[in-house]
Amino acid sequence: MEPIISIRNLYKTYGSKQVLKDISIDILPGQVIGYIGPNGAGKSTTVKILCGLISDFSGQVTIKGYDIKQNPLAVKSIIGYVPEMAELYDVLTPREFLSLVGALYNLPSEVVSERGNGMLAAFGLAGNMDQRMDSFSKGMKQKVLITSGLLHNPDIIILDEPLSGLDANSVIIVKELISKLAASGKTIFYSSHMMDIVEKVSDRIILINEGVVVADGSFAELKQKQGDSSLEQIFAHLTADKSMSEASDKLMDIMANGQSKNQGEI
Amino acid sequence: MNFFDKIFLKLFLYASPLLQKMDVNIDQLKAILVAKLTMDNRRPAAFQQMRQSKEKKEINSATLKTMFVSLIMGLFFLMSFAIGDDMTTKLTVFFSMFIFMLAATLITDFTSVLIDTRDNLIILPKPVNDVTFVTARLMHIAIHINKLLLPLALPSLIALIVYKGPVTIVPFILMTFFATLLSIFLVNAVYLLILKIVKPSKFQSVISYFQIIFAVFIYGGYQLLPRMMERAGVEHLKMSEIHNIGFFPPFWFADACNSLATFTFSLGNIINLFLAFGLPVLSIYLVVKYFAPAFNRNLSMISSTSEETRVKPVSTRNSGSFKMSWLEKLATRVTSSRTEYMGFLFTWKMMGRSKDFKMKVYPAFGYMIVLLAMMMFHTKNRFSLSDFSEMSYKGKSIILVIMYFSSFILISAIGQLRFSERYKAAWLFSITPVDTPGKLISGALKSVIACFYIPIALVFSFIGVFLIGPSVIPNLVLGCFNVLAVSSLMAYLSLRELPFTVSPQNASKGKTMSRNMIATFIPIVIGFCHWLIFDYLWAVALLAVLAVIATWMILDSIKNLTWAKIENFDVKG
Repeated sequence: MEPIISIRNLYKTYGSKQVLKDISIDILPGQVIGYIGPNGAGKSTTVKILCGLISDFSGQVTIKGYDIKQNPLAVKSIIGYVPEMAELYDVLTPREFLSLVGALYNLPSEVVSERGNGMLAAFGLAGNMDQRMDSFSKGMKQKVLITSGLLHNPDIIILDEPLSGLDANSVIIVKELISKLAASGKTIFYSSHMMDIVEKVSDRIILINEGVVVADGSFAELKQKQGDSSLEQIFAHLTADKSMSEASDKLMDIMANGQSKNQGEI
Repeated sequence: MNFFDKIFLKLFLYASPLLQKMDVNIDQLKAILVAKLTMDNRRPAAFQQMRQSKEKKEINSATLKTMFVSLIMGLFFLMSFAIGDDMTTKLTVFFSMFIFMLAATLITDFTSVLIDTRDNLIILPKPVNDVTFVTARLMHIAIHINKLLLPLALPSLIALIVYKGPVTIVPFILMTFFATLLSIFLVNAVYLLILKIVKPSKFQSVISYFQIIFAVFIYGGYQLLPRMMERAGVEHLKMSEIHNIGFFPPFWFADACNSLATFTFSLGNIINLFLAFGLPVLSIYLVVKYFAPAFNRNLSMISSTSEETRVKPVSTRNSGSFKMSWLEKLATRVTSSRTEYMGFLFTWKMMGRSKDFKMKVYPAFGYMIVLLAMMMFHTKNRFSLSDFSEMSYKGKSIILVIMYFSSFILISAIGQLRFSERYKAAWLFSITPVDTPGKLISGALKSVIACFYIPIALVFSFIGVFLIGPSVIPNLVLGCFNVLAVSSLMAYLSLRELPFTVSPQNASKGKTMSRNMIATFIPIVIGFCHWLIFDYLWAVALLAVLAVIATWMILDSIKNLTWAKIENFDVKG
């Protein structure tokens, strides 16, 4: 099968700092990719390159046959992007926001209102369609954002910490949604810190550290290779320079011995 | 969107066929504009931001209110018709003020209107091409400007019709339009220049300094211009006689406007006409065609650099050895307990690093400079240094005015001390075992005094002693401690919250107003009393001692404020 996302020798620098070093990944249609790595590993940068937000990189990124540098608009129309941290214009109402997004994807307004209404209702926000979002909770905003990312029925869905701020029931909805989207042939690129969820939803996990891919494979494969029992342990094993228990021992030690010193006047 | 937005949008979209040729997607353009205009209408206008009430009312007609403020500004522009003999001169003054106002307003409006970094995550990942995005931004700016521009130019237009007849209508509107295009270009150029010089992450703070300078400039202009005009005898000024006036863009618009209205076309007129029409069009073309892509790239950097670049570990000064910085040494000197010490350091660092605080307090410095300049204009005859050494009436007054006026800086800083955008971090104070919160407040107050008053007091004390001699010292001491006692008393009475723990949204106008009234009134009264006794050295010395004691006592009572006296702050997650 032809890969839907193909990244070849991707390098990216900010000033003198090399953020991505020779990343090469092929992703097949219908795969759910869990993209994990510690803070500053280059996760966000990769996501931004895939979404066409950053264009001054070296290497080749092809999405569904389109080179992202030559054809950014074609790429953007087949990608649905859900940014992290509930970034939206919150003085607008969900209806107003979705019609803006719909128009940007060149969708007819009937389609936008039909899909928007339906999806928000499914998220339990039917009654909030015409309220300004500045009064919304983080979870409610996130639901609107997820809706806006799926509105144009994209082939590829890029999720950047999509579950942050969602309550337990909404997490279940989104998790199920991810598997159903994948089953219907959508490709999902899931960038996250939450190991337990990545472990469950993704059928392929890519771990990057300091701009380099350090592990790539299904959870079962990684487990076999690394001999650890959970993704959390594999992650720690591959990305930390010393063992976590050593670090926590040290913390305990300083806390106990430093106590006498710190009992000054408060 | 209100009535005006709809009209403007409709008018602007008449250009659609042309825009389509430039590769602009009209549907996307319209969607972005509708969303942006709706948001503008719901955003508190600049003057509304200052009086947010406790109950959060939804803002619906910010646009109309902004237009009303512009109308008042527009009435002020009528002043330009008092300058000079000929039309070109009057119009040059008008266009200068007009272009300055527009460009400055735009630069300061930047965060809310011009550049919304959320665009990076919301609009840029969608299939929108650069030209559409930039056109949408430019049109949004244009509509925004038009809403300012109409009320701004209308009074002058009416004045012109009365003065010169209806023949001026078309040339004036035309030239106002082109002057506006030039202003847009200027703002773009300034932005690109700033982006070239500073790191994108610093961009926001540079712009906020612009805002401060602009506020001071406007204040100074409105205070000083009329006075300066009285003196300079500008009634008979003739712009066209000024050397090199041809390089001054407002002159082109004024001259072009005049020559169109009077149908006189000399070679000079034609050159100015050409410049007035051609240059704005060319500059806008440059903005769309060449500046736009660079602008967008830089724009995405403004928001991205902060998250992308990992903070490099720096070998810290304090690791291992506990060498104290000068600030820590100062803090140990002036505070008596560990809590107060922390209050001092915490406040010092927050004041220096929080943008909101600087934005609210720094203009006070500028206002003081303007007030000083005004005083210079008020003293009818030039005063000389001998006024000081001989302790004349004038010398005395100037010293006292400077001394007591500097309390405004201190009082405005104290007034802002409780507010912070990060007020939620205040949970810190309620979960830690702080026995007397007064210690934190007195530490904070001492920090404000050390940061905003001591340097000024030292400067004018040195100047005073240098000019007058040591005999002025008791008066200086009395003045300084009067200011300190009054400000501390204000702090004691009004600071019932811990520093940086209240949302700026909760600033209730009534409280601020009454405080400002007192803040202006009391130092003036005390300053006047001081002026009366200035020459009775024994009385001054005695009162100076009393002022020192009073300051010390007030600071001490602040230190003893208990939790019962502190207003509960909201600690919502």
